[in-house]
Amino acid sequence: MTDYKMKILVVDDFSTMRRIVKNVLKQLGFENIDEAEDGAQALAKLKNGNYGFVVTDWNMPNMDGLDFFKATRAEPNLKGLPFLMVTAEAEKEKVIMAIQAGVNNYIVKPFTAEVFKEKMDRIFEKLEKK
Amino acid sequence: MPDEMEEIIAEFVTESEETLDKIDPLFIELEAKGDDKEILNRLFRSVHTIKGAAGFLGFQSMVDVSHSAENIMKKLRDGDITVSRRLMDVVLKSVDMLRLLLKHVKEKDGIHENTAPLVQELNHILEEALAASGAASSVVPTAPAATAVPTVIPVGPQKAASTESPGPAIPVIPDTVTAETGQQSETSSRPESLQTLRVEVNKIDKVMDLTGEVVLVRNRLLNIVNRLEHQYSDDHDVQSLLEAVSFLDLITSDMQLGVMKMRMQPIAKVFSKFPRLVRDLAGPLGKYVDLKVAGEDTEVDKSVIEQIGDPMVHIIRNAIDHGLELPKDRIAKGKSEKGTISISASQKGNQIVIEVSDDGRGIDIEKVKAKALQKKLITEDEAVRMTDEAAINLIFLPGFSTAEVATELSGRGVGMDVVKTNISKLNGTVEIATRNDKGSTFTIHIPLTLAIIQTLMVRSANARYAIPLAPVEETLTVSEGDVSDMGGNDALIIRGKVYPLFTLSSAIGGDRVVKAGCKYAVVVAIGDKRFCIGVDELLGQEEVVIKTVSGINTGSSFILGATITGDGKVVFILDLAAISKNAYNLAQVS
Repeated sequence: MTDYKMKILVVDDFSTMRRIVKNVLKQLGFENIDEAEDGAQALAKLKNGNYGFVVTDWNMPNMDGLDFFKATRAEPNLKGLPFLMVTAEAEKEKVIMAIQAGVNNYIVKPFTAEVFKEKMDRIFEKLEKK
Repeated sequence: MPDEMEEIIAEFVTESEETLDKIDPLFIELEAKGDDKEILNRLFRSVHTIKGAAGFLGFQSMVDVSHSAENIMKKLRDGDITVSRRLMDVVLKSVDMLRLLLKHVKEKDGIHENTAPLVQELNHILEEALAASGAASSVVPTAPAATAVPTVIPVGPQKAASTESPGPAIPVIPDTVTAETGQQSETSSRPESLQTLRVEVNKIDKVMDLTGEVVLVRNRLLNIVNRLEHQYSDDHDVQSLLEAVSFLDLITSDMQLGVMKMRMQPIAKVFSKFPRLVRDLAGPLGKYVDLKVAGEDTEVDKSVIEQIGDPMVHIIRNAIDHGLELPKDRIAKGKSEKGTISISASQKGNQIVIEVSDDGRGIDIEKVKAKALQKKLITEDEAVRMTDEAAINLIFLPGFSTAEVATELSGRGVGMDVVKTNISKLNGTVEIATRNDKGSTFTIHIPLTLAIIQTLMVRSANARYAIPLAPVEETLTVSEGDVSDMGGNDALIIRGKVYPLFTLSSAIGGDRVVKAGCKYAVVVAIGDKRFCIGVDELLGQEEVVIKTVSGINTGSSFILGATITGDGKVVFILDLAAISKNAYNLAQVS
C-alpha cells in the first residue's frame, strides 16, 4: 500500500529537474513534496522533518547524491529512509557503487511516470517484506 | 498539463542559459590553468545536468551535443587527455550550439540545426587527443568497467566508505580529494541558496509601478501637510498628521529602494561573457591579452544588464583591435608582451560606474582629427580650435572609424556611435581618457534606476513639461534679436555655431510657427544633432518618477511618459529623440 500523503524530498541542483520529478510524483498522486538543491541542504531538511521517501540526483555541487545518501545512513533516525537515485545514464560503475552503498534503487534519466512508479513500488515491496 | 509543460520548458531554457553563462568563463580559465580538477568537475556537472533535463523534454540534438562535450570533459577530468586550444575551440563550439538550440526552443521558430557535423567533430577531436596521449590511453583500458574508478565524482564519501562499509575498498585519487575539499568549503560560504524565488519580471514591474504611484501620493501628502502646518502649527492633530506623513515618507523611500533592488542583478551576468570574447578576439590577431575583472558583484537594474552588454563588447573589441599593440611592438616599447584589459563596475551614490581600460597605444588625437576632416565631420577651422577632449569624442560620431584596415573585428558597419546611443538610452554617459602609449579608459556612468530621472521643468504655451536632463547641455535666455533666419528656419548662433531653434509648442504641435516668441532656449544634444528648444519659462530641476501613460502610443508621440508633481499635477516627460526627428523633418519640408 502506497501512502500518497507521505512527505517526499526531491534533491537536484537543477531546478527544472526538480520540477520534472515533482511533476512525475504529482502524476502518480503524491502531494506532499519538498525540494532541496544539494545534498547538504537536503540532509539539513531530513534531520528536521518527517520524510518518507527521497529522490536524489547524483551529480550535484557541495554534496553529491552518493555522499548525501551515505550521510543519512550515518544518522540513526534516517537509517531506514528509502532512497531512489537518479543517474543520467546506465553507467555500470555508478550503479555498482550505489548498490554497494545500499541505495534502495536507481533510475536512469529520462524516465516516464510508469517506470518511476515501478521502481518506487519495488522499493516499498522490499521494505515491507523485511 | 500542456501549460505546465510549457512552463517547464521555459524554465529549462532560462536555467540552461544561466548555467552556460556561468561556465563560459570557466572554459577560458581552464585554458589558462591547464588542467584544474575543480573547474573540470564543474564543467562536467553543468553539461551533464543540461543533458539530463534535455533528455526528459525530448530535445535530442541537445542531448547529442552535450553528450559528446561531456565525454571530452570526462576524459580531461580523468587526465586521459590534456587541454589544448584546438580542443577548447571545439568544446566552445558545442557551448555555442547549445545556446543556439536553446534559442530555437525559446523562440519556437521550429528551426532545426544539423548537429551531426559538430558531434562528429567533438568525437573526432577526442579520439585525436586520446591518440596523442597514447601512452596514457594504453594504460587505461577502454572497457567501461576499468575506467570506473577515475570516473567517479564523489570522493569525500570514499574516505567514509573505507571506514564504514566492509565492501570492496575503492581507491582514492589524491588530487580529486583536494578538489572535493575545495568544494565543501564552498558549502559553508553559501548556506541558504534555495531561499530564492523566480518571479516573472512583469509582476515585479507591477509592484514597481504601484510603488511609483505611492511615491507620487506621498509627495502630494507632503505638500498638503506642509501647507497645513504653516496655517495651523498649534493644532495637535496637524502635528500628529505631520508625524504620520513623515513616517510614510521614510517607509515609501525604503519601499521604493526595496522594489528597485528586486530588479537588480549582479553585473557578473554581463561580465562573465568577456573572458570568452577576449579569447576569441585576441587569438586570431596574434595578441596576448590578460583580462582583469573587478566589481562583478555590483548590482544593476535588469534593463542595464540587458543593454550594457553590446556597448561594452564594442569598447572591448576596439581596445583589442586598435588599442593593444602586437607583442613585438609592445616589447619594442618596453612593455610586457601581454596586454591588459581591465573591466570594473562600482556603485557611486545613485550611479553605476563601469570602466574599461587597456594599456595599449592610446588614441592618437591628431589621427582622429585627420579622419574626421577627411570624412567631412568637422572643418579645418574646427580641427585647429578643437580641444583634445572634444577631438577624442569625435570617435562617437556616426560614420567615424579609425581602423585603416578593416579587420574582421571592426569595420562591421557599426561604429562607436552605437556605443554612445546605447548608453544614452540608459540615460547614461560615456567619457574617454587616453594617454599616448599608456592606454585608454572608457568610463560609463549609468543611473541606478531608469524609473527615476532628473528632469528640467519648463513651461511652454501655458503647459508644464519635464525635459530629461541628461541630453541637456545648457540653457540660455533669448531675446527677439538673437534669433536668426537660416533659410526660413529659426536658428540661434551660440559661440559662433549655428543651432536650429524650435519652439517647444511648434516641435510637438506639428505646426511650424515661424519666429514664435520664446524667452529661454534649452540646448540639447541627441546623437550627432544639437539644437535648441524654445520655452517660455524654466521652472527648475526636479527628480521625477516615470509613469507610463496608457492610451497614448509612446512610439508615435513625443511623450516618454508622465509624472505627477508634488502639487498633484500631471506633467508629460518629453521624448527628445522623437522631438528632434520631427523638428528636423519639419525644417526640411520648408
